[in-house]
Amino acid sequence: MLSRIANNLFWLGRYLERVEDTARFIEVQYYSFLDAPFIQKEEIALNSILVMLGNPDYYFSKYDRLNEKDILYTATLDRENPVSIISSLSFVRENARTTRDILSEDLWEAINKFYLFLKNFSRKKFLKAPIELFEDIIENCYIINGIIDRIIMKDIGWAFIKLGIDIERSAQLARMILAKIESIESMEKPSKVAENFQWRTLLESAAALDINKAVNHRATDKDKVLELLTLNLKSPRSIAYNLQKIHEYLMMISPEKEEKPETPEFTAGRMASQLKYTTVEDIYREGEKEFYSRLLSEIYQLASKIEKRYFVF
Amino acid sequence: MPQLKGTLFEGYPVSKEHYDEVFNEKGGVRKHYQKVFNYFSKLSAEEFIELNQHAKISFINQGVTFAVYSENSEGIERVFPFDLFPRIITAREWEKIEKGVQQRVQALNEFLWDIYHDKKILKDGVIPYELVLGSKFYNKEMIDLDPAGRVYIHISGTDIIRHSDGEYYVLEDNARSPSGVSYVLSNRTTMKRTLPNIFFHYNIASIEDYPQNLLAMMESLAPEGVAQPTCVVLTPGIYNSAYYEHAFLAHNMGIELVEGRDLFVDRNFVYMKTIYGPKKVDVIYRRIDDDFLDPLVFNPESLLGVPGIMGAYRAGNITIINAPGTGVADDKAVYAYVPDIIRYYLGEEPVLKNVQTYICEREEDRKYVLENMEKLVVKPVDESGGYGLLIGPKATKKEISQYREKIKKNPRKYIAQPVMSLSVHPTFIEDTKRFEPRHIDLRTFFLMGRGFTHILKGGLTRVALKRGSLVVNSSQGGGSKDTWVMEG
Repeated sequence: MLSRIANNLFWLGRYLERVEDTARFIEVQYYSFLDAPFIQKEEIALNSILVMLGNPDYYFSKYDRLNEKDILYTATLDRENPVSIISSLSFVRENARTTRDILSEDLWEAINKFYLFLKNFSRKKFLKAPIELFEDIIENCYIINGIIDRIIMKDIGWAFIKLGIDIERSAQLARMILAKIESIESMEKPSKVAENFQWRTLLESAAALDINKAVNHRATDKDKVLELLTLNLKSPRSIAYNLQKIHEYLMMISPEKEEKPETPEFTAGRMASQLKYTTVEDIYREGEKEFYSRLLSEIYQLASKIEKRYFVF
Repeated sequence: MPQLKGTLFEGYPVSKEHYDEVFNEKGGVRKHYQKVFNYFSKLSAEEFIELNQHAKISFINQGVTFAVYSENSEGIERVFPFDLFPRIITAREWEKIEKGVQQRVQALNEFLWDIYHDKKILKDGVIPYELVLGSKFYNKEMIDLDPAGRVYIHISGTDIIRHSDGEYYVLEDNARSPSGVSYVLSNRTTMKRTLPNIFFHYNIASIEDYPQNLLAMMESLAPEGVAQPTCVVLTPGIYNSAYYEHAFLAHNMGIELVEGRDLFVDRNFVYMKTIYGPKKVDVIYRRIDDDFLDPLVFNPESLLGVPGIMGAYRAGNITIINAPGTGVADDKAVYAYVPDIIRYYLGEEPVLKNVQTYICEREEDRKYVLENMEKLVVKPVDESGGYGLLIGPKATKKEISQYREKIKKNPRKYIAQPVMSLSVHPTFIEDTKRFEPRHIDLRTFFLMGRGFTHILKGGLTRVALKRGSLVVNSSQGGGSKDTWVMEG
């Protein structure tokens, strides 16, 4: 397989996951804070959207204060914002376009249709009922993921897409947890209720609320949430689970089929195994912020190792 | 014509000045069209429009679109207009076309070898030196270079028309990566999906094996000592208007579709960048122009090409399809000499006719052209796609006098021909909801490798959809038809 094509498939996966995660994050942050049990809630919600998107600078170059409508628009439909949902989706489409003949016409059509739908969505219509658009976006991502899992042949090209999706998801999970820890730190003496509320919205942003109900019976205290989103090996919404999958896909791709030190599959295997034998206590011992910052940078290093190994000449 | 009343053919004007492919001069249906004609004459306009709609959806589903690019580089994808009434060629007529095309391409291939080596034809005075060596397409990099199997024109797209005398004439020899074959194959697929029952009544040649033959041709030209060659299609990229065709061909041959940036040259070998490291490439079907092929040798600005590829080519380590420098063979001034070229190299009389051509560089011809422009079609020698031509009878006085100055300024650039009357074919016109005559031509596809030739039994019948228009090019509002060659 050509390196360029593999690179396109990898980034198709990464951007696709980014679209879904961003949409869910904004939706959850914004709506759950409407009835949050503490004051200054709107500002916290808007700020966390801005921080998660990672470019407050862009926002403040256009607007001088936090404003609900402007933030929602900037995060979702603003094509000039390189990290908006529409921008991510246009990168999905560009990457898919060059690969449409190799993969499946269905995948291209679903992506193209989704893109045209979002592109033609007006600011006015969006701001009238933002929740509807977020749900449409998430639903479209499900459709595309369904095609990836049920239509495409599970060969190396597929493995590169999945690799992109799961790398992105692991990184987004680590980032969301990190952002949440910081957000709670910034609250002045949060009550237990307020703190648990924060952890609950994190579960929702990670689409893990239902899984949590099954595993933790409604409890949303910090230990349980961190364990579920980081260490659980059965939940597709945990970092450990995704790292195991990443290792699997890398083994599919690797020509040697054996893990030599310094290869991406070796690194991914080591990261997955380390998490498998980590406890919440270990996380506390290292310090939560330190632990997740380290994990996040290891995931990014793994991604660049993959790029160097397979895409760069 | 009583048989046309109450049908989609009602009021169909059977032309006296043009050859009608379906109707004879008396208005009767030609024998080989009878069954198709019967089928269509039983349909109502509504039924036909519904079928048309089916066909359109079939094209969209197959992804047969071409992109029209606007600002912010976002493509609008369009479907080529397609007409459901197939163009049918009898076995006897086809035999002549096939023989004629093969003869022309073989002669032109000999011609290319000669002008890049001994230049015998020039020394013998059959063609003036200046005409060949002065051609924009004469490629000095090709001098004394021996392409694999001595083949230059691996893929050719000879354009043929039928004049009012009922005879076939060659209009152009497209010897530089002719396009359109993906439409030929998709047109057939669409016809089969839309009108399956018509096929039961005809024994027509199959064309589906074209991609396999294309690959076989490429493999036959592998550099020496390479038993299982790696072949690729080289495209300028997704923003090229023919990208669909590049992807289609690569996909159907089961080989990689690469861009210039996917390839590199190391010690005169060409490699592609794969996830498992460099992989040697042996045969390249390139769909980029000579000028962009190698920035080290040709246009240094080119980002589409592969630096160093001409060195690898010269060393015999890569086969480039078509060879660089084949443009001389379809230079419109050289065209005038093709009958002489055939006689010179093959010692045969041309099977297909050439259109009478006046070369403006010859003083005598130029004088005639300048005095008779309102009767002639004047064309630049180095353009294709129907660009830059002047159709005398349709031009205004001002246009003619402006064009006259252009010719005087640069006579080498122009040739002129009498207006050929392209044959007409019933074509469904949505505005009037009935069949009307429209001008058509035929692009053939001929493959030549080492000890290997193949002609696609069919071709791209292009239709000028505007009433009275003679320009069939897709970039200028042309459509197309499925083309059937009858067997036996």
